[in-house]
Amino acid sequence: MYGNVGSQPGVQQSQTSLPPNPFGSAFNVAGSGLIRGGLGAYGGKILGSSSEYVQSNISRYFSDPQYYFQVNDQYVKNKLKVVLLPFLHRGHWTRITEPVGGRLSYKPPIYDINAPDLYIPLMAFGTYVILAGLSLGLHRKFSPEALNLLFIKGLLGWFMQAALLKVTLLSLGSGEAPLLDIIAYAGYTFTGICLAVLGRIILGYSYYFLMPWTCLCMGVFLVKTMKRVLFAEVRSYDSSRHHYLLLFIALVQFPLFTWLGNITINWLL
Amino acid sequence: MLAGRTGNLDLHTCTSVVGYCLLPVVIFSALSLFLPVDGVIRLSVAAVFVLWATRASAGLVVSFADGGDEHRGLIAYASFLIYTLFSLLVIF
Repeated sequence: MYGNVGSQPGVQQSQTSLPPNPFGSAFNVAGSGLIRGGLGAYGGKILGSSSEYVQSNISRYFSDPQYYFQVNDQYVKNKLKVVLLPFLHRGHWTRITEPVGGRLSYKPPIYDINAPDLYIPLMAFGTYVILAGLSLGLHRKFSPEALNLLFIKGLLGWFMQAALLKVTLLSLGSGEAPLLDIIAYAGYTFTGICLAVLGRIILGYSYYFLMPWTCLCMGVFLVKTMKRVLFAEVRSYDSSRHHYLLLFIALVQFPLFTWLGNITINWLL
Repeated sequence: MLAGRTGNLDLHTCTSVVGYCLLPVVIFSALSLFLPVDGVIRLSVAAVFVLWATRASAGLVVSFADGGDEHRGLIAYASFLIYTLFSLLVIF
């Protein structure tokens, strides 16, 4: 009799726990999907390319997606400083290279502050979704459907940012930057957005100061990084065209940040 | 969890640890049935349970993974995100 009564609350608890699972799964699926998609793209590139230099570079990254997750606490701290306060980065923006078996390859993030990683973008994206949910909840508008919608919106923003960077690099004659690099650079966007959204949750009016500030910082960061990527790849140099396109990247940050930072139920807003 | 990929941690161990440490969140779900709808109290209780789950999860993962001490902060933050997500669904 007593045992029977005891099992009933257990069943209730179990049922209560089941609904949240889909969202947890969505996170994992999205994460692995990103990496798998990137690897697929690399595979296509390998088949289509016969260049020794390109092939060695691509096989380098194709065989080692974990390169992007070789991080530690110190790297993350310093990288966040670089992303959020690019003006204070006094060192150079060039990635450190080392000769490996006669080929030139980059040092992993744990040794090089300028190397891209995928840990910060993924964590920033997760933080963005959770902060969005928290913001909606505080306004009594929270629902799992809204959370799912914001998740898709974030992914769409990430994709648009990555596409922008990729198209810019291609139009400047440099299409050899690895796809995961582009995805990582685009993902840093969420770091600034999280800061702005957090500011709005805590103090409503600080949002209007933080949003332009984070847009500016992200613009500066992307311009510096993309400039370095270009110089590493491009042999010819067309000064004015480069500068205009890099400036275009910085300017696009403002509408993108505003769209992602505006957390509502509505799709387009 | 992603930072742990450089070590000997496999997917099954990660899933197992995350599942075990969901228990505090489950307790919070049951407890929330009796809590008043006041926002501040619920948020405070949720914060306590999420921190409890995060601490337990980080401790377990660090003990499992090689060189886990170096990544403790990173692992803890990933766990924090997961349990906060579940808690959001409980709170609101």
